[in-house]
Amino acid sequence: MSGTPLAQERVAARAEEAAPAIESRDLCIVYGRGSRAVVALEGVDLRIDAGEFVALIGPSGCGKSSFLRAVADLLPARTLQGTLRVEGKTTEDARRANSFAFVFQDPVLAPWRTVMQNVSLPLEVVPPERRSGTRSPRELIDLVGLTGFEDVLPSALSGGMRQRVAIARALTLEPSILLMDEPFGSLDELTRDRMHDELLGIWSTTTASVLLVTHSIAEAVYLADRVVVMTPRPGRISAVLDIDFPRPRSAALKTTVEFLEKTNEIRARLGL
Amino acid sequence: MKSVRGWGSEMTFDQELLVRAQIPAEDERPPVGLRLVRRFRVVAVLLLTVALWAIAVRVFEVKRFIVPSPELVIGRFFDTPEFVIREFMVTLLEASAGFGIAATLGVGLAILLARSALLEELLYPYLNIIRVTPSIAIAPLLVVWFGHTPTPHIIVATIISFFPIVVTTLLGLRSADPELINLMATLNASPQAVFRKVRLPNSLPYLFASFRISAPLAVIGALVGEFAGGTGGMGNVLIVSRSNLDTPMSFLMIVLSGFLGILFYGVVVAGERRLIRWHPSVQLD
Repeated sequence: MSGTPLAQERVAARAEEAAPAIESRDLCIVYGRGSRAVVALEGVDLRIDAGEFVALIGPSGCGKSSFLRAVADLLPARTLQGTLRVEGKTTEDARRANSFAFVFQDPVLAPWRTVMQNVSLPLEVVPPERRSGTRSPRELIDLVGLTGFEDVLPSALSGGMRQRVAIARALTLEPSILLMDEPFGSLDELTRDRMHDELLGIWSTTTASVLLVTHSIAEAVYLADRVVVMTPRPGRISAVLDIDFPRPRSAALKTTVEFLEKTNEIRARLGL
Repeated sequence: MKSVRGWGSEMTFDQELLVRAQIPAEDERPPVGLRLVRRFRVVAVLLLTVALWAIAVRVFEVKRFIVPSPELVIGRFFDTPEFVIREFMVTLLEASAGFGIAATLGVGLAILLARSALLEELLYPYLNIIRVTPSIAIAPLLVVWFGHTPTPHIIVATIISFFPIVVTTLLGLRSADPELINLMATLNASPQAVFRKVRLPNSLPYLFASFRISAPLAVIGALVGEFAGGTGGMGNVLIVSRSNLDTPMSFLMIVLSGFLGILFYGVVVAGERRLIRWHPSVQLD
């Protein structure tokens, strides 16, 4: 077990759920076949406990997004080798059980739907008997600070606001796992910093585990309990670092020496 | 104190702010005269053209069976208004029926082809054959088969407006954002839900783009059908008036056919503005 006392409490509080949130053993991902085959991921062993916040970091082509998509059952089965379990189930069964929600790099909103309709989309698609829980869309819109914008179309929103809609949508069914693929990559730094604090605030109100793919070292260190450092060609895990800063964290942390040391350590592991 | 609507990153909404900046007043309505000019300047172009036409016919002493003066054309309407309106309505109804059938079959076929790549592979080449077959060549045959009824005219209107609807709607159904489809997959959405919530709404702008092309085409199709034979409709009146050297009537039919095409186009654009308000093409207007 890793992490701060707080993180350990979170994990221990849900000890009854014996299976880890995500567990991969010797996972390989190969795209294409024959001479055109590309090995995107090579022998990845990773265990993410329930309630944990884990960040995957690495340069382009290190397979971090592929790993995330594999967990979400978005890759063709034939590309996967090895074992991958989500809450003890196959990824397909986990998807069928609506165990996780995915936040994409782009907000991926339906442009013909208002903010409220976009946030409510999962409620229209997933029948009540398949939901693990439900949060009121209005409450979620309030949580991400978009009250007053319920009836606005996405085209009238800024990039940061759209991404907040996407996050609200991901929380609608109270998923036990949040999969986030560079969700703040397209935002400006000021917005991104505020989104970090918002995400941590939102996460503290849920019991969800988070697997976050990111390009940003500071983002990974600030948000995560553990940072998984990956290297490309073929994609491999080169290091796993515990981030022991106490929670709740605030922006002041980013200016501390310890924070800088952590980011430097990751920088070194990335070979920078 | 001026009320400034907060917008964007600060999340505030209708906030009262004390600002030094001058807030521009609402646009003033231009004076009545200017508004009238703006509203009617398009019509003015038409009136000017008609006036030039009237003058040219007189100056060059053009014979009325070559080019009649505009007042003769308008007068021809008032000679037999019931007759003209009746024939106009025949073409309107035939074109509407043809377009309605084409839209129904076209969207239906596009949905089928979108669901099955095999079906697309098997049927698409033959769709192209239907498309390149000149409807003017099929029309007389249809008249032989269906006789003096509106049916052959409706069929020509259907054939001519069918293809753009299939092709463009298929494109729209296929071009949904793949990540939005992935999102639906993570929600374990049924194929029906993906279709209803993503593919169909996504295809609406494409559907209307095809209607913009197809609706006026249906008018042409109905006219071509009437040209080829059978009874009724403005195409038929055109044939008869030409053989009688009744050129004012021919002109009247041509003008009314153009008006019918614009009418069809206008109805499509009006529907588009209502149904896809979210789309940039509509928002820009």
